[in-house]
Amino acid sequence: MTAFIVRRLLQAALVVVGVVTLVFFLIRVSGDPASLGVSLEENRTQEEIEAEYRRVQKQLGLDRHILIQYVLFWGRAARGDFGFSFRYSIPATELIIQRLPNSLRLGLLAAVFGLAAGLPLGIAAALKRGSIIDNLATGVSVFGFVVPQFWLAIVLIIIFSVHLGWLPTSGTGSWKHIILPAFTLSLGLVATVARMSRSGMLEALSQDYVRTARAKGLSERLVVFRHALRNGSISVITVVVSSLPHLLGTVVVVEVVFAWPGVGNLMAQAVNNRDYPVVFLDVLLFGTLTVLVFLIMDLLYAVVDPRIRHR
Amino acid sequence: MSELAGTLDTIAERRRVHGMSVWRKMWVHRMGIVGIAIMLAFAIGALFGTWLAPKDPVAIDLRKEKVLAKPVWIDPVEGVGILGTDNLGRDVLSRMLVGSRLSLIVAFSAVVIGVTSGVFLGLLTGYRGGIVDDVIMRIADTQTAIPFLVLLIAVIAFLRDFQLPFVPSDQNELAKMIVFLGIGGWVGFARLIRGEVLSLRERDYVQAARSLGASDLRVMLRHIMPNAIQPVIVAASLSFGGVILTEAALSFLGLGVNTLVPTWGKMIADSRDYMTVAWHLSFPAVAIMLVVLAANLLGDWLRDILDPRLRGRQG
Repeated sequence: MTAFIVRRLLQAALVVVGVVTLVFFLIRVSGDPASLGVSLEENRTQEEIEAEYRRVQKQLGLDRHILIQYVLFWGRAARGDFGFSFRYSIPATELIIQRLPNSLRLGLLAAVFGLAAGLPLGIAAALKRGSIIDNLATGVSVFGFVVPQFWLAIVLIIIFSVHLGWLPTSGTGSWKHIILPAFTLSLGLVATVARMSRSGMLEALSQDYVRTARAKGLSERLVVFRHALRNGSISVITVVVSSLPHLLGTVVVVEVVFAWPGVGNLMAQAVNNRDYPVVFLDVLLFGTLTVLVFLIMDLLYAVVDPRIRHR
Repeated sequence: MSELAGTLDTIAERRRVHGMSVWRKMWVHRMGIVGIAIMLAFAIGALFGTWLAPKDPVAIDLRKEKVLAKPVWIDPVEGVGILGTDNLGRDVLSRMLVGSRLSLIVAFSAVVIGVTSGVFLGLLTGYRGGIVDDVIMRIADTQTAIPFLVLLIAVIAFLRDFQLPFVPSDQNELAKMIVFLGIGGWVGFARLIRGEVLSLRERDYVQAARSLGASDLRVMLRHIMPNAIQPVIVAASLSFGGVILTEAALSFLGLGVNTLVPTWGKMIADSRDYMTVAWHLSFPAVAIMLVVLAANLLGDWLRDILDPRLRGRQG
C-alpha cells in the first residue's frame, strides 16, 4: 500500500512539474518581455535604447541561458514568488487567493446541484425505462451536452433577470446572485451524472447477482438500493471525476458571462490585458486542482479495491 | 463518452439487432440516420452556402426598419430575409450559411489534426514502448491535467504574436485556431490507439509479419493500424461536437478568429448585447446545437455498427 501511495504521489508531482515547465516555455516563446520594458521616446539615440534594453534584460534575468532562467524560475516558485500582476501591481499569488473562495463557492454549489438533480433523474430513468421520466432524463442530458454554455447563460439572464426580474443579471452580493451562474455551471454535470447513472444502473440491474438477489425474495427496494446502486455507483463516480477538467474549463465562461469575481473571470481578464504572471498562476492552479482530485480518486480506489494496490 | 437517445443500452439488445430485416434495422438505427441527415444538410449548406445565401452576408443596411428586423413569420418587412436581420441590418440567414463553412472547416480540420497526430503518437508509443512511451505518455498526462479550455486560452494568449510557418499571414489566426484545437485532441486518440496496439502487437499474425521481414513501419501501418482504428473513428465523431462548442466558447471570450463573416460562435458572441430585444439572433446557437447533436448521434451509431465485439462501449 505504501509503495503504491509513494508511486502515485511521485507521478502526480511529475505532472505538476510538467505543467510548470509547459507554461514556462510558452511564456518564453510568447515574445520578448524585455522589449516591453523599454520606452521608445523620439529623442533617444539608438545606443541609448539598446543600453536600456540590455539593462532591462539583465534585470529580468533574460540575458542568461534559458535553462538557467528555468532553474532560477523554480527557485522563485519554491518561495511562492510568481511575480507581480502587470495590471494590479500586487503579487499574482495574492490576487488568486483573493478570488479563489468565490470560485470554490460557485463550483461546490454547482456540484451539489448537479448531483442532487442528476442522480435521482438517472436512477429513476433506469428503473422506469421508456417512461416520461426516462425521456425527460434523455432530453436533459442531450440538452446539457449540446448547448453552448454562454448562450444558455445569456438566455437565462434574459428570462429571469430582464423579463421576470427575479434574479440579478450579474455580480455578487446576495444569495440571489449565485443561483444563475451555479445553475448554468451545473447543467453539464446534471447531463453527465444522469446519463452515467442511468446506464450504470441498467448495466447493474442486468447482472447475475441482481437476479440472485431477486430470486432470494429480497424486496425490490433492497435489490435496487443495496445491490444495484452500490455497484453501479463506482462507474458513475469515475466518469464524474474524469469529466472534472471539462467542467473546470466551463467555469471560465460562466464566470465571465455573470461577471462573477472568481479565478476564471480573472484569467479571462488577464489574457486580454496580457497579464502573464496571472495567466500562468491560473493555469497552474487549475492544473494542480485536477491532479489533486485524480490523486485522491486513485487513492480511494486503492483503499476500496485491493486489486489496484497490488498492481 | 456519450449515450444519447435511441442507442442500444445493453449488450443483449445489441446482440438482438443481428438478424433483423433491413427495415427493422433502419428503425433501430433511426437516430444514426437522423444524425447523418442533419450532418449532410449542414455539409451542403457549408459547401454551397455562398451560392445559397439569398443576400449579401456583409451588406450593412442601417435604415430603421431594416435593423434588428424580426423573422418573416413574426413581422414581415419588405426586403428582409426569412430569419430577419442583425444589429447592422445584415441578413441573419445569409450570414449563418456563409459562416457555416468556416465553423465546420475549423472543427473538421481540428479533428483531422487531432486524429492524425494522436494515431501517429499512439502507434509509436504502443509499438516502441520504453523511453519513447514514457516521455510521450507523461506529456499526455501533463496536458490532461490542465482543463482543455483553460489550456487553450493560455496557449492562444501566449502565442498571440506567433506566426505559423508555411501559412500566409492573413490566414495565420485561423490556422492557429485549427492547430491549437487539433493538438488539444491528440491525447484521447493516442491513448485509445496505444491501448489497442499493446494488445495487438503480441498477436501471432503480427509476429508472423515481422518474422517474414516486414519493416516496423509496414507492421505498424498495414497490420496494426487497420485493426486498432475503429474506436478512434467513433471517438473522432464524438469529439467533433466538442470542438465546435470549444471554438464557440473561445469566440465568446474574445479569442476567436476575426473574419469578415465569422463562425457561429462569434456571431452569438457579437450579438450578445442585442439578444434581449432580438431573440432571433440566437439562430446560430440553434445551428451549433443541431450540429453537435448530429455529431453525437453519428458517433453513437458508428459505435453500434462498428463494434460487433462490443468493446469499449463506455467510450
